[in-house]
Amino acid sequence: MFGRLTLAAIPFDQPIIMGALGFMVLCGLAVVALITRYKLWRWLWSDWLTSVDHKNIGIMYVMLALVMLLRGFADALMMRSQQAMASTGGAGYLPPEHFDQIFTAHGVIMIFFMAMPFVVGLMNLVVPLQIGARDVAFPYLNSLSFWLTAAGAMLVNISLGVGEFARTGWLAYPPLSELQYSPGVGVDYYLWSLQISGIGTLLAGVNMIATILKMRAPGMTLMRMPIFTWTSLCTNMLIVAAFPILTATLAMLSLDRYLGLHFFTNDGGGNPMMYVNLIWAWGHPEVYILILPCFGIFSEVISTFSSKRLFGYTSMVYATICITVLSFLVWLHHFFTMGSGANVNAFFGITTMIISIPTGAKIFNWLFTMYRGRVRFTTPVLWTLGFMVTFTIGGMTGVLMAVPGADFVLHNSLFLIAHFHNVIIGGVVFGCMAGLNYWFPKAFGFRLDERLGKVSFWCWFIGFFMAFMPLYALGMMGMTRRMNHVDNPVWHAYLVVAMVGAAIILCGILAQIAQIVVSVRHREALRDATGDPWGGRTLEWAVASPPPFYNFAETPVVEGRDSYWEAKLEGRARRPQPVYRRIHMPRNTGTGVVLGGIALVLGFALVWHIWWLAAGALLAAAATAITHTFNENRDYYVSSREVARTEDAYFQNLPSEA
Amino acid sequence: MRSVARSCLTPPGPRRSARHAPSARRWGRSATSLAAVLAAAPALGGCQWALFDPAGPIAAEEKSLIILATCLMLVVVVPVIAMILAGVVTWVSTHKLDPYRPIAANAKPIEVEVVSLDWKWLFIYPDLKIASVNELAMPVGTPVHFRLTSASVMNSFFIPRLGSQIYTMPGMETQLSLLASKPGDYPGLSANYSGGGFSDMHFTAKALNRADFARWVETVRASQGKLTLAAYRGLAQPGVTPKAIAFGDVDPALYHDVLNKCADGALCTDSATNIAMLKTMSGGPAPICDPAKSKRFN
Repeated sequence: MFGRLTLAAIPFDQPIIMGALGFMVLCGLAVVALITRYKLWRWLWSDWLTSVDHKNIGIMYVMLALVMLLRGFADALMMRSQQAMASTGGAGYLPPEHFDQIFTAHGVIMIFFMAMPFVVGLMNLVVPLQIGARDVAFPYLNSLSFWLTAAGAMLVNISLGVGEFARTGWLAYPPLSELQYSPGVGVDYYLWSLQISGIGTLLAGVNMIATILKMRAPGMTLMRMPIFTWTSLCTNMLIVAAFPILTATLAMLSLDRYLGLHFFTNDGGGNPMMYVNLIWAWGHPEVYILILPCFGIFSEVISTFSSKRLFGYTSMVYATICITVLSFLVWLHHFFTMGSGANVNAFFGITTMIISIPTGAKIFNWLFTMYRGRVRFTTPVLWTLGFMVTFTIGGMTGVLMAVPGADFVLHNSLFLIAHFHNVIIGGVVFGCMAGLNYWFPKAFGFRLDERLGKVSFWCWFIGFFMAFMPLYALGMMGMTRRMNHVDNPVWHAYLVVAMVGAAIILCGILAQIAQIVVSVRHREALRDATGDPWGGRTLEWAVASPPPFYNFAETPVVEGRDSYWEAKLEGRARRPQPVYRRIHMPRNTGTGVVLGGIALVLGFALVWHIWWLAAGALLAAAATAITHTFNENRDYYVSSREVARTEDAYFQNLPSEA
Repeated sequence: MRSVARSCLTPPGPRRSARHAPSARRWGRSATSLAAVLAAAPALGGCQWALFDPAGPIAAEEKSLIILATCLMLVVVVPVIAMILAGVVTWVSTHKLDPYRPIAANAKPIEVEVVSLDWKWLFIYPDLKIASVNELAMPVGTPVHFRLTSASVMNSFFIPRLGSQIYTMPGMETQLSLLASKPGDYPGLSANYSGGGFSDMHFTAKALNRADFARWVETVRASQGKLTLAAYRGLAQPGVTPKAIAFGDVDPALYHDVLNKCADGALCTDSATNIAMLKTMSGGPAPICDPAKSKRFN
């Protein structure tokens, strides 16, 4: 009846897991109680869950990312404390079977369910506004993408309480991830959560490319697009090119595990090396999928807060395109030690180093943008400057590891761990935090508290260096990654310092939460009635904050780069239209959230081999999708009177220009 | 308006006399002083950089274009030159440090066959017909040529003090050459996560003097254990082996059988029957690679 699922799947005997689970259930119940108490269910359903508004979907993506950041960071704290406790010969408090799940979950959650939703969410929120569009090209698809990502994230979290998660490392190399060595449900949770969210990401990529290519405001040629839109375009090209590889690779591993095929098994002609190649053919572009939008965020932030146009716009665009292409030519540097010949290794080592040229050019462009500008040291700028320092160090250790001879001793060591956290925290996390602080007023109409934002930045910045510089040293001493316990008093000291660093990062995260809470409480004091709190240069600042659901009452006409800045200089900005026309808008639909829910049930049924439920879910999904195609009532017109009312309200509240 | 050409491009420098054909050294000296004067002239001579003192919007824009183009050229050209140098270093060092490359030394290399098991290391000395678990001995100054495979999942064979790690993979063989130049006990480990007992998958690499190595070989040879197929199957059961185990005798076909996945009694992947079977199944040449004759993807 329930496949492999029995009550024994719930780890009642594990106090840590049950504690975490209890905490999560309590939080969930508290949220449900609050929603019921304030009678918000209808509002939640009609304004958020069924919304096809790109801004609401973007905000939900970012909220998902922030929640998953907490989950992934809890894993990080457990790993740091376990290694600090178990480095003098003791066993620590986490046995290998638990510890191995934690580092796998940490990697999977941070990449797929923290970093990805964060950058996709920011793109969703900002790109249509930057190009002067009213929504994305396919609003319903956008909603579906989000709910599939959310379903994947839910499935990972269910594995905490029901069954187990994979103990394979975040890329689940076979043969370890094959049935023979991982007979439990952990790898199955891994496979189905990534498949479900991966399809969501792929659809989001298609949607965003169509939006950017087809829905730009008149006059916005490609070379007039804001740089964040450019990096988003390249990122989504990468998504569309790379994610099918992931889907196919995981599908082959699933076939091995479910139908006894032999793609990557030890026997029957299978070859695990093929998996390693394929997963990195997706995996390397994936890191550029994460970092490119962040490069875009830094460009916007630096140019806005220096009140200067971005230095070297064209070179920035071509650097982005170069990185996009090159990111597909370096995947082998993840396994120089797999025995390929010196020619192959040297080729991939050199292509890896070449990527540092366009990246370095970007860094110089940002520096030249600040040069002789009036830089305002706001929180987003602090994150950007912190990024430039941190990312440069990470980039250089990366070039070092790109030399195969050096990689033969540094591969899989804590040096590697320090390197990629150096670029992913220093690049992606700092970038997302900069974006959060920069665009928060656009999304909600009030700024975030500056003081707590700066506290958060300094905690993250100092904590990062304390947590990861010791890891560079430990890597040099020969400590490999994923160790449950070691017996080495010298390493112990470094591991303790790293744990203290992680605790400082925790302070940064707490300050970040406090920043949001305090800002919500003081929202009237932080209110921005203009829609342009920073002196922005691009179109998203041309509308009210938060923007009306139709974004632009009248489609803007673009005459150059930084078109809003030009309009402000020429006194054309923020002028009411003499007449308003009716606006064509998409209708909300619940199909996305329903399909997301069905995908979650399907994934769960497949993990536990509950075949009747899986078949039922599949049928239900097909029926829902087909029913949706018969829904003719998908769009409507906003009356010109309503537009006029909304716009008038904005212009009446507009402070007089001093 | 003063001309740029007159003030900058014809500096008052030493003039070459046509009567004396200058020697190479004098040529060099005059070239150096010419360069010095050229460099110092704008600063010392009050040269008017008309192009950098624009008085109209067109000139101003053209001035910033000159600065921008120069900066961009610097940020692209300088890294490209650096990358060419780094590329040469990478190419040369990668070939020099290729793990498969035999090490030049006076002594004849020792052959060691390595099998990574769940979660221990088996070292077979095919020429000496002995084997040991979690203890590897090698004479100082003698290259060791490792052939490596795995009995279960991927691992990475790594002795940090001696450099270069290499993956061990089931059904496949990798190779590695190492050389210890100082005697001592060096910790060895698996650098690729391989499951529950991974953290305890250590071994000791003993670099010994020639005499000590001979003594070590005698001690191992004197031990009672014989590594037969049956003994190997016991050893291959998942688990951690904290202490080193010595085998005085070893089945000569064992490494071949592990590599070809027939140590558990299955059909060897390189056996004629198996290859013929795969040929019929695939309808073409056997897709299986013969590890003995395999060429690396190079």
